[in-house]
Amino acid sequence: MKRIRLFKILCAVFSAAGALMIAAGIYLHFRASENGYAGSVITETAEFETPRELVVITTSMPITAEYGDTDKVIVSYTGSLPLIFTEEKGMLRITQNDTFTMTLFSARTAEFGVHITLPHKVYKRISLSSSGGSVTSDCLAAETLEFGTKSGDMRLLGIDERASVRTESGSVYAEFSSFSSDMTVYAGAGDVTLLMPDELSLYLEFFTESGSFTSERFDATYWHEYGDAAVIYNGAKHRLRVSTSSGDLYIY
Amino acid sequence: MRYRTFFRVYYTFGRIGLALLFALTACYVFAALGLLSLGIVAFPSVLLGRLGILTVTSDIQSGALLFLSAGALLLGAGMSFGVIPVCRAAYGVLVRFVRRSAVRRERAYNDEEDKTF
Repeated sequence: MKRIRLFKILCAVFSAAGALMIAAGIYLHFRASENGYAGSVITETAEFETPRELVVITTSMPITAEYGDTDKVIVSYTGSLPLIFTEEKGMLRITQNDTFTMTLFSARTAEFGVHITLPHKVYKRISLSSSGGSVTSDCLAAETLEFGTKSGDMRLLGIDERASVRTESGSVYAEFSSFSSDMTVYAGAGDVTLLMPDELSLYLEFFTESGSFTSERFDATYWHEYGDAAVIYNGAKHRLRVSTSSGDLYIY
Repeated sequence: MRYRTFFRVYYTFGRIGLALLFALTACYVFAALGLLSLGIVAFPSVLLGRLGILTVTSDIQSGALLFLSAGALLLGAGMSFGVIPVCRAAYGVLVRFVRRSAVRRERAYNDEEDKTF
């Protein structure tokens, strides 16, 4: 009976203290909100001179890069920490601070990401890589185009054979504009969807351990098993090699 | 009102009351454990965030977040202390109802038997 009374007393004391602290927290938050945004989410925009090379590396933030009507590189982002910008020898390097982050009571994390608008030009190198975030590229042109993720998905529009595409478990959606030399797409466990121009002839090799191949356009008359690869050939000179462990391949 | 009818009304409402009591007790236990777990996770994280070891992202002002997480921890702990008395009280109500129902059922049957003979 004494023990139950002790529980009741502890319950009353702790609950009262907790309720008071919660009330104080709510009061502090609303007082801070009256003076502007009270959270720790950052939204910023930065402008840079057009570089020859652009390298973007993030851990969790999705990356979107596209051309726009601008004469400067415009980087706008939403995140929990400021991005780190480094400009040296014609290269603009954008990296995400990799401090361990934790999200508590925030609905804005869905907005997190980096959006880069580039002036129209053919760059020497564009490299976009993210560990957990997705990578989206819209018709970028560079002598070397590199796209990489670990688990993030990739959406690559208007790419050609100069692009290097590599992911461990993210899916890849790629629309090709042209194709004039050999190229390899690596997508471990992720599915690969390729959209090829209608007039483009194809020489494709698909290496996989347990993935499957689907195409409405290239039916069984085009493709055959050759060794451990599925090969589609309809007269192209250059070879596109897709390599997955369990990811499926879809070609349209 | 015949005693048997009175017993039926008492028994039906009693069962509804017991179901509500059970639901309320379950809500209390879940709320207590939920708040306690939230506080256990949130409070140390917010403290680490204030010390600059961890980055905590939130739509809530950081000082307020410290108070809120500490409050959740204290309230959760307080409510968890109350789980035993609350469950004990609910169990007491259940036992009392079952005993009284048994007595009233007995009286209801006796009442009917008296009228039959």
